[in-house]
Amino acid sequence: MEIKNRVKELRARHNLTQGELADDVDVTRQTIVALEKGNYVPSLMLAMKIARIFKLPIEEIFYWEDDEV
Amino acid sequence: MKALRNGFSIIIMLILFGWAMSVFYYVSIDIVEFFKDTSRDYLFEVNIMPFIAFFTIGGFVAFLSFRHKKRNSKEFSKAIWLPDEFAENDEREQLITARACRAAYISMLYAFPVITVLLLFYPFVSETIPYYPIIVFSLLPLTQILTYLISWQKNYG
Repeated sequence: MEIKNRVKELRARHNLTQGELADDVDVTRQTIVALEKGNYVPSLMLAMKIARIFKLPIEEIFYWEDDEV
Repeated sequence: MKALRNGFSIIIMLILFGWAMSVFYYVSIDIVEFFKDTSRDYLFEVNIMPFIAFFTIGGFVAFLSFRHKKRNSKEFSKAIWLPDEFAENDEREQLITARACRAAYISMLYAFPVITVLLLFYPFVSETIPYYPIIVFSLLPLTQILTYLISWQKNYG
């Protein structure tokens, strides 16, 4: 069971580039790329920073694959 | 991919250092011979080519590394002591580096007995390759660096 995320979709909705989001949450752009590809599961700290940027609860951005609607 | 490039620079430096030390082995032999026979008119002879290569290329690599760290490091005083192939700019890079270090540690456990066995062959080749232990001993860091780089590339993807 994998953890998926809506980072790519939300980033597009907020008109943010990968670089801008990376700067906002203090990581490298490659980490955002890996996140969006599903190759990397972030720490709680990073997930909370991303949630704060998108003004959403963490569970609306990161979810178990099984919970996908 | 800077980590990979830096890793290969380290490998080149390691090979050049091994070459320089192999040459220096002959210098040591010469010095020992001189003390046995002080009537000789020279202390030692040395091929300075590997030393020139090591210090020229090494100096250039060290300069690039120094400049890069000075520009990009938050804590320069700490970064100066760390190898260039350590990329730890965020949590993901720290994780990749940690995995690569783990792989390099495991590789050491396997490489060490193999290298020790290879040293047992020294009496057979001591006449033809007197610097054999230097070459064999250099295989240990070489194995670890290569393992580190392979792991890094695999996990960075």
